[in-house]
Amino acid sequence: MSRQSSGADFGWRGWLVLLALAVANVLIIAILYQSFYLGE
Amino acid sequence: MAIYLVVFIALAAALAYGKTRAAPDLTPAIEKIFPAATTLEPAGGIYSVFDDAGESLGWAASAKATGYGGPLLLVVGIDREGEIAGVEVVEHRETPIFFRMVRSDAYLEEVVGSDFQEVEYDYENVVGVTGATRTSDAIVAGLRSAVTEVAGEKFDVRLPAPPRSFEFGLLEIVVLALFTAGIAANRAGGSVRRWMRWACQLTGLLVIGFWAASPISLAKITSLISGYFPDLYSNLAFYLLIVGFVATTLLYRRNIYCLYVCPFGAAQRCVGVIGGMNLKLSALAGRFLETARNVVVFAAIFAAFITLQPALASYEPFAALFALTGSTLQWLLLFVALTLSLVVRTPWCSFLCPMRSIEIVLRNLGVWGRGLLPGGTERTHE
Repeated sequence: MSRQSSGADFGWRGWLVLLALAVANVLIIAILYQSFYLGE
Repeated sequence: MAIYLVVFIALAAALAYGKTRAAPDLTPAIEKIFPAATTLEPAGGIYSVFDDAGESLGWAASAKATGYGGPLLLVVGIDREGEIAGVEVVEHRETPIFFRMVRSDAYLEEVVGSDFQEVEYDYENVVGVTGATRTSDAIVAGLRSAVTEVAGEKFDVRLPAPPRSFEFGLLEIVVLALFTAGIAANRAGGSVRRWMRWACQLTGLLVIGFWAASPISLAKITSLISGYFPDLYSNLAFYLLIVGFVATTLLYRRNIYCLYVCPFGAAQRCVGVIGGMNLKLSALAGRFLETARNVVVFAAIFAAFITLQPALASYEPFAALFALTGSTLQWLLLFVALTLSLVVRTPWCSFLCPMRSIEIVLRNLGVWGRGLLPGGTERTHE
């Protein structure tokens, strides 16, 4: 499951992907927050 | 194993806490249905409603039914002429956006003011709101059961029994076929496996995704664990999916659901073909992201248990893609996940999907369970 690093691959594009995944996680937390606090 | 124990105890405590909350008061709902009501006399689950002159206005009864996110409690009022005076949902655990859609559906408007004997109570004949069929089914089931109670007690009328046949249609056949084909493909290996996987996933994408819009979601799993079992007769496909997921992961040790059946996995692979890239993250980044995902899943289930609102645990962008409904944030999440699929293989499955966290727990439980079997060691595939 964990992705192997192969040096060349994990350049600026890898960081961009990581950034996008971090954004996705923030979105998930925001969706949860929204549904729990503003849901009703 | 220690971490599992801590997680298990925390979730059990949250669920126990959620279950201790008091039952809601029905009075405001009854007063809303009968605005002239001043006195309520409860007897055997039915409230007789009187105005300030002591004249009887009618009767009200409550009923529970299981919706998408858990139980749904509603109150139905019937006036002295046998017309339905109103339907009020007192408590529900549905996703707010879907609940609003069902509330504003024409069905409920038609019901109010109709003679209770002329109302259509069969699921199949009620046009459910797309993407919220379980919410509308629950309202119909609750309405039927409350009306049956008042009809029998006060009007001496027996409503015909609800249809009790399994809804076995295209969706159920496809679900069974996909799990069977998935297991067969997994055994076959090689290019047969590759082609069969594409065939299964595309079928899942079209039928379970775009046609039925019913992939497994965290809300459904949380709802089951909380003890809210949706009606077996009208939710057969859902049970088949859950049983297939758990059984193949636990017993067959391959998660056939995620690999062959899940429509969102298929959607990502399709986008991946367009992108044609397979960017890999470092092992450390992967581990970090997986931990983050597990923590988020735990927090979502924990909060859902404490509030006993399983539907609120759902953050997957499935409904946005398959039922074309969702909040702005869910649409954004869908956009990020599909865009990422262009450069990384199935990024949602690998780093964000709660099903993966649950799969890992199941796998570890399976390994642990097999260790307890006589013989004590791991068995190989049958």
